[in-house]
Amino acid sequence: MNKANIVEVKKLHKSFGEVEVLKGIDFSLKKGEIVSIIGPSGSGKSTFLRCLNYLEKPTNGSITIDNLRLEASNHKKKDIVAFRKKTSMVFQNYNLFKNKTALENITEALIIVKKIDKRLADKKGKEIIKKIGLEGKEDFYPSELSGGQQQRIGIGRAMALENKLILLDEPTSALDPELVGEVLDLIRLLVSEHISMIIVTHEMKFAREVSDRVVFMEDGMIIDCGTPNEILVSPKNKRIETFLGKI
Amino acid sequence: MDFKIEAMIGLFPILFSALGLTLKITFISTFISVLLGILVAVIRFFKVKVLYEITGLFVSFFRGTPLLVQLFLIYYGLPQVFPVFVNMNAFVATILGLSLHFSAYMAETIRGALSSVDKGQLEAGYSVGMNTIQVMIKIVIPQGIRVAIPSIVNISIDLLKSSSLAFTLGLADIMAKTQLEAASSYRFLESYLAVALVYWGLVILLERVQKGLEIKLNKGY
Repeated sequence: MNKANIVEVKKLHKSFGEVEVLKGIDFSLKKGEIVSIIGPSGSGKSTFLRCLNYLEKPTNGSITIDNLRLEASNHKKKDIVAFRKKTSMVFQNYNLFKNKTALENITEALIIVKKIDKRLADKKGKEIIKKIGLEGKEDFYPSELSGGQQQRIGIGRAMALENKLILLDEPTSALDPELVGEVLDLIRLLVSEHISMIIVTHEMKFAREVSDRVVFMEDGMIIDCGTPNEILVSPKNKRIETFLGKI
Repeated sequence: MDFKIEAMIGLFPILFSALGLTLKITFISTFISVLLGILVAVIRFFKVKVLYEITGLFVSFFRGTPLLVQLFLIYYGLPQVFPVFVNMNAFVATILGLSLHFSAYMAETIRGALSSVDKGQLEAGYSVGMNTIQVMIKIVIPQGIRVAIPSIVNISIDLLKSSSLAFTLGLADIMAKTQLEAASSYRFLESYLAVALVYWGLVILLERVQKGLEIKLNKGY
């Protein structure tokens, strides 16, 4: 593995029954790099992202994150748990723990996974709450918060773990247009802190602004990959051009 | 009309003296059947190899045969094959029978409630590095139990009333006391009405508990 890389994916395949959703993905991410994945619906973007923390089990290939290599064909349950601890995930539908308050959503994993003392975890949780601009909402349950606020907690939960890599699966797709801004602002904050991130998104302008690289996926394959300018501004690939034109 | 209200009222102190036993049987059996129900439900939820088939058979048998038959099988039948059970008293046999029987119902109810919890909750737990046991205990089971509370209390009510079968194994619970009094005084209507009222009163208390639990667990929904 190249030392500068935090993620290396080799020949990754994933099938759901007869349907092959990922058809051999090769991919790498440098430490601190921010990559956006774009492409039409059903192209396998989200499945690829979910494979990176084993919410979906690949059928073939290998993934290395921070020197921990997992072969699809040969691994133990214990390896998966260790592997998941390398990354944090931000979900399209937030997936906040419904039975936990805003603060607990952030501290729960600190306490039971990272085994941090509850007092320290609470302190850290409150710092995060402040950072995501939700002071005063510590004891609110997810159902009492707006979509934008919930997603900010979703991002806060991912930040708190201080894992090597944050994966964002269409973080603004479920939001009302007027709430998108606050979530993107928070992601910009993560960008400014040089946290490695992979973002699946339909926000082209945003992708262009924050990404170091943009990946275009279609039909379970990576079609093209380059700087935001190469992919989003003057794409050489006809398919990408039509895709962007349609959006 | 031959109805003596004094005969009925006179029975209450006798019933209250046995109330402790009925409550003890009910609480212990409910507690065990909820825990066992959760265990079986989780096994069936994840379709754990081998255990899935065993628990399927367990649920089918304990739901499919009468409680009275199960109590007799445990109390009179088991010692015949397993000498360890020879010294088992009627109290333990009753608790064992009620717990096993009602855990089968609890298991099915709780399994349904667990399936109603959004799959994203499990995934979110995994994504922050929790293992399956941690996600189940911290996230999925609490959310499932909230949904299952009305049914769980329903089953507990059934269990409370079914504890009256304990008298068939010779336990002196409120039902047994009533039987004795009715047989010696020939005041059948008064006696059985008195015991019916006591059971009813207990069930009303349980319904109160249900309301309280629902309010507490619904916080945040």
